[in-house]
Amino acid sequence: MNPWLLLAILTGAAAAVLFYLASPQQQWRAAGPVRGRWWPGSVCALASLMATLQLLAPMESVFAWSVLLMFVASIMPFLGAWRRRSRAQENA
Amino acid sequence: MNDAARTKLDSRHWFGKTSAGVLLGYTLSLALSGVIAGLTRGGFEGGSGKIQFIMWMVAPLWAGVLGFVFLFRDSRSAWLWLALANVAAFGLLWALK
Amino acid sequence: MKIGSDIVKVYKDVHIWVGIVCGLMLFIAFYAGAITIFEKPLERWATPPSTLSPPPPLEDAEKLLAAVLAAHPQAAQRYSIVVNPVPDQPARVIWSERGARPRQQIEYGASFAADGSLQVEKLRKAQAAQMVDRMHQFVGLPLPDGIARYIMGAVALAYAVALLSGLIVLLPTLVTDVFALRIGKNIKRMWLDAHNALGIFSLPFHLVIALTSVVFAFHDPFYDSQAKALYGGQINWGEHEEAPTGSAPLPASQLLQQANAQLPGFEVYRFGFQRNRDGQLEASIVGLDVRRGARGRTYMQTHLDPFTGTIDTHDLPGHMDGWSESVNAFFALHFGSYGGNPVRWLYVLMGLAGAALFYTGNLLWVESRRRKQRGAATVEQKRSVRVLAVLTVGVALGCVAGLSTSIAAAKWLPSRVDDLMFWHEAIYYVVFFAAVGWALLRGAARSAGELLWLCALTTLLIPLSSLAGVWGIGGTWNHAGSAAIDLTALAAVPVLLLLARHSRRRMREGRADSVWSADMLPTVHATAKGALQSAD
Repeated sequence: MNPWLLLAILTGAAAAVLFYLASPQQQWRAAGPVRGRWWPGSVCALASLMATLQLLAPMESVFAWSVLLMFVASIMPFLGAWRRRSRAQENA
Repeated sequence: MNDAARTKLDSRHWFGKTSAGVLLGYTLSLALSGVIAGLTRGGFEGGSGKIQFIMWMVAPLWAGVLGFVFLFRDSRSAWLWLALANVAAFGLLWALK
Repeated sequence: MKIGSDIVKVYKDVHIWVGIVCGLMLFIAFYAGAITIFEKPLERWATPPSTLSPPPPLEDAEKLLAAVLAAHPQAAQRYSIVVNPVPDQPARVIWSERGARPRQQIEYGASFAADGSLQVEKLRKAQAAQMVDRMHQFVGLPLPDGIARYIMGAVALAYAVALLSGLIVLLPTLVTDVFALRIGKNIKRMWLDAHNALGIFSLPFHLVIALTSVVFAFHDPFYDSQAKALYGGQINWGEHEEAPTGSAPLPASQLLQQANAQLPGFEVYRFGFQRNRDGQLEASIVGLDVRRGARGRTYMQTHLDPFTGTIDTHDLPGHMDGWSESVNAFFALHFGSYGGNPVRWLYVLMGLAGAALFYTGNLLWVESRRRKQRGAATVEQKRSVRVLAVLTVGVALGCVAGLSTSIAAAKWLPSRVDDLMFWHEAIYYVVFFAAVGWALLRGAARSAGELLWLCALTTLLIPLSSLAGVWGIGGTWNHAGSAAIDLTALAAVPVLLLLARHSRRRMREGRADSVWSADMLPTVHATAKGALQSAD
């Protein structure tokens, strides 16, 4: 796999995950949200865009990058809820 | 706008508003697409790329009008205001041509 | 953000009604659309093997072309030289002739047999991918194209309005509820959160899909009205360019060399040649640069001077004027035709998430209207609620099972029937309507689990048909290198079975006062029972 592609996907997914973890509604971390910490997600999102720009033309880079962020952000609430439930089952 | 100062909206006028949005909304977006064509580089003779782009503009304009038409107080005002907007937009289009 | 409660109420009504009327058609469009993202591999998978000998090298393409033109002079009107023959373009030289029906083109391919003699074959075209695309474009409606296209356009327009109204309804609580998914006693809350989670972050994607679909449906009427209102009756598309002149076209291998030098990163699929009205030779180059968006879904195309090999790049993305570049972007954004397979997979996932958005919308409607049980007496759910639950299950799962069955049939049909498209559609609709009928008969609760089993089994038929092809059973085949289709279908099977198990559990253990409970009688029975009780 092209290293830029790997970097683009990993940092892009990480960006959406970090945004989720910073949200007050997140359920992934038992300890609660990483409050007010929007910059790690933003840095990852920027890194992902930079990596995508190495692979595609500028406009197409922005398209691909935003679709990736949209998708991961859309499924994070489901992963968070699932993790919270499995945590509850472990503790029970 | 606060709630007390205006009459409350309700869903009773949905048919009149929707038909105004579909019919007058279409003609309005048609005229507005022409205004966009007239005001941008190349005017109405901008070549095949611009002709296509201006055609594409009808969809968001139409959907936008149809989406916000439910904010009118009732069917009558929806038809009235959209008709006025049509007159204005076609007037502007005529002036640009 | 503060919005008047009456405005929210009005837009909630708009959102709900559009959802009820269009949701299931949009489910079909999104599910089929997710499959069409991989139309090329699917077409390859579904194309019967060619009987031609392996193609001669590209350097010998002109020798083959000369032999074809000597035997079939009509081929000179329109032919192509394929750079890299694959199962769905199995010959080095392919030409097309007009068929009996209007706009029908019949394609032929040619090769050299082992003894050097000319071989000609009428190419066997697969229709499976095209069938899925029809279901996508016409939201699964069994109507003539012209009517179905306008219905699709109206659905797409309503879908754009639904996105806007959904956003307005959500705005007052957007900041506090973003990323929320509260699972607990309140099932309505959970479906609302799930619906919002799928909708809110994907909103730009959905808006683009909705608006582009409106244009795909209505571009002809839009142009006609604009011709009258804007362009004084007729659209002037500009001058037709002069055809290049010369004595003999360059050999394809040289055209390829020139193309690779002129357009680095552009993979050439084929060179097309045709005679214009004055009998002059015109040429085009067809291929793909994955770094940019392709308006033609799977390829890009532009003119080429066949005598010098110079490519006229102005029809290629990255070389167009700003207007054309934007229009090209609208197409690419709908098709996901940029970035190659990673972006395609992303679009498949977004398509499935979109289908889930409409499914959760319907579940939310059903749950919001549930009559709650008080005390011991069983409650009967409203007829409208039962009907929507039944239709949601029947239509959605019928679409999944119908598409799987019809795709699997691609490997069995060509050796048996002529009109492939007719049979693909017939199989789809038989399975689809059988599933809807089954859901009506058995009720939403029971049929959900049963139909998910049907979906799993019919999807399993896809790799099984390829497996049959390994041994050539019943006229089937298996192309080397198209296992991705089979593996994807195989991976979907356990997912569908998991969902089936989940629905059975909900039927047994869920609340009794729900359409998803086995205690809830199917629609037909419930009305019959109601009639009996009133007769008592």
